[in-house]
Amino acid sequence: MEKAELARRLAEIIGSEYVSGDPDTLFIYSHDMTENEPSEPDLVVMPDSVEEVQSIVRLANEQRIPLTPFVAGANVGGLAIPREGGIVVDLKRMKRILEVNEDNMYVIIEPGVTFGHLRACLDNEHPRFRYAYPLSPPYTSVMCNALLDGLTNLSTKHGDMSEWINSLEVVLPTGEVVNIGAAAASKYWFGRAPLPDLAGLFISWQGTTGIVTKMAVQICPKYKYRKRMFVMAYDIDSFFAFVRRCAWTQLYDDIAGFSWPAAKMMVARRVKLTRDPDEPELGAYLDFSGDTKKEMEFKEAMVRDIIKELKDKGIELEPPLLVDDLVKINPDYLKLAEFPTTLDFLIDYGGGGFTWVGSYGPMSKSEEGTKKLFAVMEKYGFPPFLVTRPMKGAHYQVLRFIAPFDKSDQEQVKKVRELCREMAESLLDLGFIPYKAPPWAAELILKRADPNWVKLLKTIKNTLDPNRIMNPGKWGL
Amino acid sequence: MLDYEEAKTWFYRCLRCGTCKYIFGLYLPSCPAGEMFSFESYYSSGKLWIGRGLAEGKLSFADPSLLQKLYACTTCGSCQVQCSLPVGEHSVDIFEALRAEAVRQGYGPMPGQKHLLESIKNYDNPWVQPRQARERWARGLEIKDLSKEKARVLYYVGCTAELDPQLHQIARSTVEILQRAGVDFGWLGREEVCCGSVAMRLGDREDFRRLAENNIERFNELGVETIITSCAGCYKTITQDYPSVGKINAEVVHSSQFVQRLLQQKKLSFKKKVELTLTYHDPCHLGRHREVYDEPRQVLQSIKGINFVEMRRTRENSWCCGGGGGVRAGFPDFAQETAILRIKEAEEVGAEGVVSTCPFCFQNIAGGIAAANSPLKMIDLTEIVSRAIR
Amino acid sequence: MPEVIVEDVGALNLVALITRELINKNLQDPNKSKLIRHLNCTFVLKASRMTMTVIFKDGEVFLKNGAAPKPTVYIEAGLNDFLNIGVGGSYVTALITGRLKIRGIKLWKLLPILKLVRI
Repeated sequence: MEKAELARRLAEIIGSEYVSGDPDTLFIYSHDMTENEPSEPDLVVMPDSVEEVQSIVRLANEQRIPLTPFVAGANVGGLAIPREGGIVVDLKRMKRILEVNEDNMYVIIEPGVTFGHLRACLDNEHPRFRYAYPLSPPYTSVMCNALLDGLTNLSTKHGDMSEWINSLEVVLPTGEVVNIGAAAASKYWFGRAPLPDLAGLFISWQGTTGIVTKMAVQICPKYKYRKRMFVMAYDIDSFFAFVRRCAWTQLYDDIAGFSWPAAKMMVARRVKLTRDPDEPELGAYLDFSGDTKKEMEFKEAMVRDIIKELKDKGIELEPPLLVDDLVKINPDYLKLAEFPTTLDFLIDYGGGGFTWVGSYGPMSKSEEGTKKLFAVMEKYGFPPFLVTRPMKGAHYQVLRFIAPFDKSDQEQVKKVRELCREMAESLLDLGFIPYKAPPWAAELILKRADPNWVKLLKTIKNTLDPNRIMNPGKWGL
Repeated sequence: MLDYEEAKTWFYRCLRCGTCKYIFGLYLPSCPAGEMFSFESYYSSGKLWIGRGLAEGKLSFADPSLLQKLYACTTCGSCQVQCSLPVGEHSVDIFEALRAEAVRQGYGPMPGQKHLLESIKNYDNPWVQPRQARERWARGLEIKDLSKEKARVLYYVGCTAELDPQLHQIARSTVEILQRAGVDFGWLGREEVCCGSVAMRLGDREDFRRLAENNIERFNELGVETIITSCAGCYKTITQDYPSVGKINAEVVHSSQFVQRLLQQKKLSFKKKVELTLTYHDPCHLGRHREVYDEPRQVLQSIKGINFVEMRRTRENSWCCGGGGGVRAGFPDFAQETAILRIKEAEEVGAEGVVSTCPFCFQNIAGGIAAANSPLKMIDLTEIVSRAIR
Repeated sequence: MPEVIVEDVGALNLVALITRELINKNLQDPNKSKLIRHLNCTFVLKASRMTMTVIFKDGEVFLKNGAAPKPTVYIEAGLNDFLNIGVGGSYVTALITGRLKIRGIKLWKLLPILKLVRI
């Protein structure tokens, strides 16, 4: 179908003001902040309802036109770049919080609902509840984060955010709307058990199996007290010994670690950093909450006891620093304590490029992975920038190596591509698996994966999306 | 003020993290253009990325749809406040540099805005009015003509308050206040020329420079100590943009600041009660761009009887009236819808009237009130003050 | 307003970076900034393993990593105690309990220095 005719048909569905083929619009939707190759869509559309999404999908399926779902484009994996052109479906206008069910502790949201908006809604209208927030800009999509197995400040306790999904409403690539999870059989979107768990057909599939238009996610009680402490370690082994010990208590909401460049970027507001050999190499922040002061005192005392216990074993750690003290020096440090937060301290540098290789894997390989990857980063001239946390009660670990870079410098873009590839290979060697895998990383995973798993993946894809219209090029599909 | 080459150095400083789109903490929209047109390219970050596309030769000013993105921006500066990166501090300057380049290349501004620039060239005002029309509002008033006699203070009325009959009351009230306080002041009458704000915002740097040079020379010839403006746009332009052209040997203040000073000096006092529930709309040019937030509020709050209420988005987080940056001429529907959102916000807090300190905001919000059939009254701060001192 | 002069901010260790923030914050207060006019001295801080030196010279303040030899005032504390004192915790208590160690050749310079590194 000619582009003009396609635009006309789409305009009939959603109105011409929400269909754009403007060169500037296409340029913007063809890029993201990462090193991934840009690729231009033919058109961008902004539907406002499930019916409109359904009509767009039906038209695209009939005409075999690729569709790429988009909300904020901040997935740091090139996942919303339309690799094979076609239509970008920007779901930003669908930003309603449809239900906050306090009794059953879930909210039903549309794709455009951001962490900022959910936080404001809960704080203002449902103050007994909280959701979990990632270390990402405040205006990223709650739904995309959950569908892409993202993580948040409650992941140490509860795992990646797909585990918070109760139910989904999905527009399938052939245009049918289907309810998944409890929503399939109950008017309450309370969970995914005890039905066959079809949510897995859409989680981490990177939009290749349909467009999710509604999602119920769990919310949790907001406790009366909350505290954040920082504990610094002078080397990688001491750091993970501490993190592992704390994680095994399963007492803490969050135990997130960061390497020295992250800490110093925050304070120094510089990218070019060097480490004083006497400086801690890594730090951890521990969040804990409780309904009574006694509970809080116990959890705090436990951290101090762990530090002492490890000291007796020859592992040296700094006693805890309180975030409240840091905030007294500079109120900006509150950004370290309250999520969602603006990330100016992480992205405040020239060049406007930001990427990472994030991976989930065995906790037992954290030390080795960190040492190996730090060496890789240093080899390429990047500071060893790590964000890490134990996940789901210490059942696995996330290692996320971050590389800010100058996107206007093609040499540096090339270098960062090589760096990311080498980091992903190294992590896979150790048994870690990249998450939100960009197409090049997905290829690496598929090469090593069980061939029958790959075959099953393709069979499912072909069954759900016979015309292969959904976000082509992702997952090697 | 940035030139295009300087602006280019900022194009790669934005990741499109989206922080410019909403007010942090409140999580309410901050960008009128983004709210109206929705696509990424209308937001601040989108325009910065358009800059990338232009710098890389992938986009062109010759594309009318690109001009639409550059000009459908009220230059309200809310994105500047929300963005916490260094580039955020320069967003509006970058947008204006892009517009200036569009004009330099012969493409800008938008068709609906061109008559403003032509009028400035022909009449030294953007409202296609002859020069003598500037004197109409002052009929019956005795004001020193500074082209003939000396005074310590120049009242620089501004094109909009002088030439829109709906707004003559702003100028008349200001004169009443100054006279009541015994201020030695005068004006320029038909010899007043536009401050150049409209030319600057639309990207006509050449005409802006002509007007600025003319005004700076004239102001300095007058030998006044103080220049008072009624218009937030004039105030921003003279205090923020003129320094790159030349130095004015006088203090420049907005009327709201001057009134507050008169109150402090006890040269003015409020005798009459004004029993109204009022809210204050921060003009972007006075608030976000020049950080004048407190004085208008202090003046309002010192008038007996006024029940002062704040809107949800206020001070640096204020929602723009929708009229600035050439939007009212170029995109009237967008301007009106934006004003209506502001009006709803004022209604939500139970205000009977919206007070502002900018004739441009006055025009646009008043238009919105009429279009929305709202019971709200649009009032300039000087009108309330003049009521309270009588 | 005077500001702490640093050759390469990116090379400062965390304690030096925090000290820089504390001093800069205090220098915004005219009552505190006048203290540096005649405070010609060298101050060394060791917080846990990290050391840094502040040189007050002719109304200017210079800061760098490492310990200068023979400082006018030398302070040693744990990182957490340093931070706690920096934000207003009692240095007297820290001194009595041995968590803070002070030595030097002109100890009367200690009080103005503390005023500049505490908020």
